[in-house]
Amino acid sequence: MQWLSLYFPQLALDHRLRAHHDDPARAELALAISEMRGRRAVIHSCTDTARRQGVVPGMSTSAARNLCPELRLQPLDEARQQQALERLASHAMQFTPAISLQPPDGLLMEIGASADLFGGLASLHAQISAAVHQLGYRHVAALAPTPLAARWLSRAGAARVITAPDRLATALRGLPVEVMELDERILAALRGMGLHRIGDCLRLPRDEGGRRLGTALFTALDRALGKRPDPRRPWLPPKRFSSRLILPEAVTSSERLLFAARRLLTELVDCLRAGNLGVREFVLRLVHDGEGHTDLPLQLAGTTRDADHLLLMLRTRLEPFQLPAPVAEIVLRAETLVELAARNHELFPGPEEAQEDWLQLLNHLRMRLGDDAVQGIHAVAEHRPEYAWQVAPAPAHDRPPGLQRPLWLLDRPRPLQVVHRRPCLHGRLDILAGPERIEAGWWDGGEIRRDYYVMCNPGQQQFWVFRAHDQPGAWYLHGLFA
Amino acid sequence: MTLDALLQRAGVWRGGEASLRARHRPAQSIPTGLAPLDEQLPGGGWPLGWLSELLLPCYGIGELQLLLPVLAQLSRQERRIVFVAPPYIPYAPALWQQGVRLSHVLLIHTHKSQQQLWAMEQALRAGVCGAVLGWTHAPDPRVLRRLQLAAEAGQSAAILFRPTEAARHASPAGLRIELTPAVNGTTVHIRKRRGGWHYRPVRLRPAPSRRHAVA
Repeated sequence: MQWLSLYFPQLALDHRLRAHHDDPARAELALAISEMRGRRAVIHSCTDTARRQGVVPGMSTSAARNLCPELRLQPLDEARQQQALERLASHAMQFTPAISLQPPDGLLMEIGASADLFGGLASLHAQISAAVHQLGYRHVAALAPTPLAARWLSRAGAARVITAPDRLATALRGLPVEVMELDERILAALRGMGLHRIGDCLRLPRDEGGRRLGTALFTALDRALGKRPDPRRPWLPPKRFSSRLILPEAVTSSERLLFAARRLLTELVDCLRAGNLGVREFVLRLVHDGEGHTDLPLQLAGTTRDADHLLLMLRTRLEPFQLPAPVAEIVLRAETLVELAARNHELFPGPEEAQEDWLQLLNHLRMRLGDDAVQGIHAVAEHRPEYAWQVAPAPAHDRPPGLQRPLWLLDRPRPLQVVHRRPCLHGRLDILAGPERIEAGWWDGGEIRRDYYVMCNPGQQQFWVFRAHDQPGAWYLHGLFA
Repeated sequence: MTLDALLQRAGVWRGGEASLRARHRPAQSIPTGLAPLDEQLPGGGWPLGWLSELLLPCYGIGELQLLLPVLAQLSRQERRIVFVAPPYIPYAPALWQQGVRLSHVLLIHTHKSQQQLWAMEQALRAGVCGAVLGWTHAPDPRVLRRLQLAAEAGQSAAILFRPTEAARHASPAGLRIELTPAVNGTTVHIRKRRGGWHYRPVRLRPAPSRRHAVA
């Protein structure tokens, strides 16, 4: 077993900074996360700009504000931190399925089993670090044969790689006792006894130490050294997705909005890929500056997790959209994620791929032109011409044929001018074929009794024309033979 | 300058050159079922990957009749047929009769010509459509050029229905066919064909057989 521990020293801050990820002014931002320590509000983490002005973690917020007047403060939100961890876990799912969350600020992943697939442990380690770095999260990664040892090493800021179990004790010996995440009471007792390093604790006599400090310390040490099992519950990706992004400043153009929404889409796709899921509909909520929000629902013709396609859909939806008010925050939510059959990319696209391309085209057209503008047709076994075709929301299956019919049909019959009892349309009409009696529909109130003819005018256009029995002398145009 | 040197020059065009003929031949052609016309069409049928124009004075003179065998065959090859802004409803039972698979037909209704052209371009580029038929108005040469490129990219047939007057303006279309209605059946006349010249008019049979009846 090889455990990689990722420790995020400023998880909340980095999560908050996501919106600035591609912003060149990001480095200039003076932002800090504050937390309550007892009744005192103190700085939890801050950006480099704030740090340069003298703000340091642990300092009271009022002192920080004095040092750096333009400092923006944000309270630490545990729920959001958890969300950030889940987000990182979904992203890491592409490397290994055995991931467990280490709240509030870490991930543990067993990478020994999948190392071979990624070109060995060192290569996989590097790929994971690069992926996390690209998401904009500062982190320390340490590799060790036990999860606790990896966690402790990373918390100590030691990006070590230890693969041999017998070298564990040496590696841990020099770490400060604080990295062990023990109860504050035990830590205070250790410090009181002058034990500052893990090595000091390892030398403690067990019986004596156990009586004074409780068993928790020794259990943890045994687990870290691999002398006691330390099973971890693997994290499972959720079947729904929701993520929010606070925009650095209120956005008024849909182009800027799309740019920000792209970050959330990437998160959605990660989440989908982690759970082998696909999405069919999602909602982008625009939270306006001040109050109120606008929901933009997107419905796709098929299930997908193609990032480019989703982005294109969002773009076609957003571009023509007029923002009613500046947007301060966006939320992307997909309530139902569905299982998507795993499909490998083939060298030569087969029929399945063509089907996917077709669905993408349909989505694209519907998004831009509206659902009503894009229709399939199918024939219905029905004598009345008005009812013998129907629009279908998406192209349906083939149906049995009717009789010889024109290729163009008018959406409703148009009355024709009648001169000397003969119908006219750009000149007098001559009969080419007919009549054909169509008499149907008495059962549903749409009763018709008509004689249909094929007629042509002096311009040689051929028409499908009928005479209604209940309106003697009246002629109607119903189709064209194209 | 010797003859050989002259022939090396890039600007010299040789009518009978095989490579040139190949360039002027579409990758795939679908027979229209009208043998005299097929003989005159590049590759012996309706060219895929080209922009074609059908020039006609009015609707209802057999203009779809000409294309139906092509559409039917494309739909049987699992390729889609898209109608962009048709002037009337394509009547499903009639399409079915001619062997067009209705599940492969898509209609797009939009009044803005910019959106019509956009939809045509998207459908052509997607690579899943065998033919994209458009009844859009007054496209300028730049737009036609885009359609031509999209047709090449997706290897589909771009077919534009335009009024006969459009023949007076130049067009990048590889194929321009004019339909003229006449008492004894509509005449099909090739006005332009990339890599070809000298055409004979072909008669298209009237859609329903002509007979006389009394009203």
